[in-house]
Amino acid sequence: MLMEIFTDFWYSTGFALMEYGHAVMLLISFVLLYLAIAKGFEPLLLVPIAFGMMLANLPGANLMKEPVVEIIRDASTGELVSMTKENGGLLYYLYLGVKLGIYPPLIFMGVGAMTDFGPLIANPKSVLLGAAAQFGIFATFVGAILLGFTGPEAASIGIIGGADGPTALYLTSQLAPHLLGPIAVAAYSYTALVPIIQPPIMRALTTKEERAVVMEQLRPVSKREKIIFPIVVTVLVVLILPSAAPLVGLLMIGNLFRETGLTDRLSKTAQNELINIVTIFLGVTVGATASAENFMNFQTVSIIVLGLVAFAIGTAVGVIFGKIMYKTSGGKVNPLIGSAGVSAVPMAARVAQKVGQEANPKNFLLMHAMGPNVAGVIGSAIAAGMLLMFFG
Amino acid sequence: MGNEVTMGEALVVTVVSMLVVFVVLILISLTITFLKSFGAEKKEVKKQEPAKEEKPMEKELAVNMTQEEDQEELIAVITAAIANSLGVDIPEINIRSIRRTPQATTVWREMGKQEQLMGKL
Repeated sequence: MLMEIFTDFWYSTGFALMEYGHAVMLLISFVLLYLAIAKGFEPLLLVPIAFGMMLANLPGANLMKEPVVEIIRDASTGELVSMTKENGGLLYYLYLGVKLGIYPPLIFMGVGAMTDFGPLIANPKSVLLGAAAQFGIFATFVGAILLGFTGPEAASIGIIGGADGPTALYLTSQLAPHLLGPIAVAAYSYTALVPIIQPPIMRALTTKEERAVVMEQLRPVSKREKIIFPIVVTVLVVLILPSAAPLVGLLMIGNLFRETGLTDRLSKTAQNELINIVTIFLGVTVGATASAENFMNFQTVSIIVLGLVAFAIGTAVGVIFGKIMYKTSGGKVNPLIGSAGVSAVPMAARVAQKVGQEANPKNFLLMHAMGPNVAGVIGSAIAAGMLLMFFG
Repeated sequence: MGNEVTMGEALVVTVVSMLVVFVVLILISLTITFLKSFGAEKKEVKKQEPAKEEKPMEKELAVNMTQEEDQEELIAVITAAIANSLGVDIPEINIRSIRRTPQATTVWREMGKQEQLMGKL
């Protein structure tokens, strides 16, 4: 009798239910936690992602379990109704925010509230650099097709090259939710690795003379321009590309909160509390999608590699476009700011500043690089909208 | 478009998407250029202020200025601080010189004075 209770208890524990896959996934989550906490790798995102991964792979806890729903005929009315027989796990319900594409746009609202589009408004030509860097997305998309991924999967992998976490997660949740785990890890790791990945590419493609170019000071931008900008851009972009509305629309409403000068409270909430709350939910649940069967396969390895390729191509094309602008402007544009066209705000702009200053200590490229940088955010949202239109 | 995509289709997606990205961003760029003429605010009120800034600013600076680079950063910081306190944009003020004033009292004395004051608060 007592023995039976003990054996039953033993069989209900995670130890008895543990499979090889769970153990490996737990190890991966520990490594990610180590990278996040000890090495400071995007800890604000990687800690929730890794912990979610750990929680979902503790067998028996069933935190990601889907609810069991039964369709039955209602006895009194004779209509077919659905009845929940068993509720799902906690993380399953939180995950609905990802699955239904709710969290990433909310994060975009916070990003909008943090972003100053002033440098872009002051130098509208820098918008082109933000567009050029999106080549990385599509080059990788083609590469992924060649490797045998389906269209929606390839689109989700390519978008890693946009270096924009929320956009990547939004597109993946809509097109290839089974790849969320690896794509989230790849997108956020590469965003953290911008200062390591970009500089060698930037140096290889430019001459020291080009890197040393000091750009003219940006004109001051009036408050009125900053207020009109988000409104006009939203109307324009959404009319052309309705599928980009969730991302661009919320990015711009956040930005409008920031710029009106009357909605400080909303702006503060969007860029602090709200974005933090949503990031916790998003990180934990995205991590929780990384189950052994989704994560431990050759696909994950190719996604990690393709993500890096996407990033490198985006940076390279940005810089090459920068060089074209350097030539056409008669040497007034520093080609380094092209690399900031991959979104990763503001890290990519800081990298441009740093590499520029190495070549010429008197060079201050930061604000000039912020133009392509924020244009890159809009650019990758538009690219995501296009991919969603084709494969959604 | 279906799940299985041929190479040809992938290239079409790429070309069309990149075109749209470029066209939309170029449109945004044109809109911004248009905004510039439309959104410029009246600046007459602010333009009266630059004259004020022409006398040398006398500021105590506790920063060691040995390298030229440091000095440039310092000038940038001081300019920004002045612009901010006057509420004008940086290009609108004209700083002719910045001179470090010699310290009238010793640091120790200054400190003592402050501690006295703080103690009375």
